[in-house]
Amino acid sequence: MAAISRYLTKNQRRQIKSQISQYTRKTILLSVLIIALFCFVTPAFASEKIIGVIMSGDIKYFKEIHNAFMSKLEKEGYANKVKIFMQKPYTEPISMSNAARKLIAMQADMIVTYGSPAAIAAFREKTNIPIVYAGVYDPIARDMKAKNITGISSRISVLSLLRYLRGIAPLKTLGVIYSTNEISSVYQMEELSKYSEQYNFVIEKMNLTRPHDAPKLLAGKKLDAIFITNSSISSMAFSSIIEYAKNQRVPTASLFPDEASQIIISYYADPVEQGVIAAEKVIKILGGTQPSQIMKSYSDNIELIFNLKDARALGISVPMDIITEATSIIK
Amino acid sequence: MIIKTLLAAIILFIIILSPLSASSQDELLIGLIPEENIFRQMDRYRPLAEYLSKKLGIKIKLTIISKYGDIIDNFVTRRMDGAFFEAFTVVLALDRLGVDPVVRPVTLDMASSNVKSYLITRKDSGIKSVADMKNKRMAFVDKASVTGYLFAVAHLRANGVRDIDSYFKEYYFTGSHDSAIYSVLDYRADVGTVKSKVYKRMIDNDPILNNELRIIAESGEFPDTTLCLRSDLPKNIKLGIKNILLKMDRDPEGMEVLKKYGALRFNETKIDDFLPVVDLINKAGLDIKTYKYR
Repeated sequence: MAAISRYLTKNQRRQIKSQISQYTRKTILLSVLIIALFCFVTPAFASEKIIGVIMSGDIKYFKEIHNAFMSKLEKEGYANKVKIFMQKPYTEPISMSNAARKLIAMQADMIVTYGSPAAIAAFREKTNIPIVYAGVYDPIARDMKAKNITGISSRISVLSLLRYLRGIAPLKTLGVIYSTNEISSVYQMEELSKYSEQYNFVIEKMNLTRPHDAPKLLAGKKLDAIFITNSSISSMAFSSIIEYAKNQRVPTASLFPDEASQIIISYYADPVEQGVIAAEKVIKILGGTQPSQIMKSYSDNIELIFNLKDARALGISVPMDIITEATSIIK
Repeated sequence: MIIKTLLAAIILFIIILSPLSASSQDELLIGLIPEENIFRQMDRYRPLAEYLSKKLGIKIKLTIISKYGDIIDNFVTRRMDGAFFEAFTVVLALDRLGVDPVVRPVTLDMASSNVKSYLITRKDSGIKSVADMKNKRMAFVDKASVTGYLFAVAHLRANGVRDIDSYFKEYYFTGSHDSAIYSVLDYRADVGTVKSKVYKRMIDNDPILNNELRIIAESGEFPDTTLCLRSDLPKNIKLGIKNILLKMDRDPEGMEVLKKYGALRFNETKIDDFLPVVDLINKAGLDIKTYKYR
């Protein structure tokens, strides 16, 4: 530039300086415009909200809730507006807590949980991120009070399932499979203990913290029936529990649906309803409504299934006055 | 030719008349409404029918119809000679069928021949009044039941609810009082309407239900299930049935049958006993002439 300037007149040099200055100004202006444009345009790209989902164990019931949840989001035109970050930690408090912390660290826009352990883990982190739960045992959901939390809980009665089980088997010793990893399951086991005194039967408590421990836990037990609480770990051990029940010819009752439909009595909240209502709440939050302004819901659709086919195979007769209460029968 | 035609006419005449004559002399068909679990109900009614058959000398056959209101439709088509009607269906039958109320049982558990209707909910439902029932799920028993429908509708109306379709999130008919109770217990309904006797029986069998359920409204008294006989049944048969049933609590064999049936005795029943039901029909805003009970 200096070499060229030697051959230029003073006027020419002034003109060039002015042009460079103009060019610099334009460049700066353009840069500012690009930055501004980027700043304004970025939120449009970033309108894809991150929803962190925590499942309390990789089980079919929660998968069904999630499928219904996604279908509802898709139906309402939200499928491309959200990015789902799914986590299925093992059902124990530390793994659940880590899953919740991961979502908080990645600044998820919302946390959706399926099952009590996941909901409790997210709730205990005391984050401001909105939390929407589904598939949570109602007494547990009632205890989770915070401005950022809403959802739908499963209103099911332990006593109802016990009543139906007593209707098909005289109970002296009831095996109760629960897990200290899952508070809802402990709660249900305590409820059953309370009723055992009133109905005059003994409870054999079986704490299952790993699914593969089930055969060892059941070995040598003399039970009249098995009650499976609302525990993901227990549901992962369904096959071992059913094998024991078949060998001992005792009925089983579960607060989770059975994938292979071999439990004799299943009583649970409809997973589709849970997923759809959770999605409706998420959509409201995405639209700007505060979770505290969204009413917590309860399950309306309750399933009570009698598996007459396997009951017959076990030599158990289900009285007609009980069968008439079923929402569905497996023949 | 004339003889053949005459013979055919006589045969036809005999064919037409024969079921009626068989029904009125050899056999009587008594209908039952499904007020409770039908298997349990049949266990209760069968010994009563056998006792009545033996004492009357006419075979009594029982038939349970599937819905309360069906007793009105089926009474004539199935050639019933009588039926145990629920109080609402008695009023409908008096209006549409031409029947005479005869007797009703004084039940063992309540020592009464009258019943009440209860509106029940779970104690943890938070429902204490009609206002709390808005957008909840309601379990009725049957559209032709005083204790399982009519009282509830009148009570709702008295509390400002004119349209149950829009007031409840959902409502449905369970078909029996037991099922209405189980629906509430199992969280399949938030409120249920049930007959006091069935409710008490279930509580007696399982006292823990007291910890779970709450009565939030209670009606006045109505006659319990009442045996009505068709008006054109021969007087001697009607009187015979009435006398046997009214006296069976003084007969050791009859007392055993009553015990199985769940009653202390039978009481005579008159049309005037149903005036409280007529009053309730008016309070519910229904017209008995046009009411669609199906």
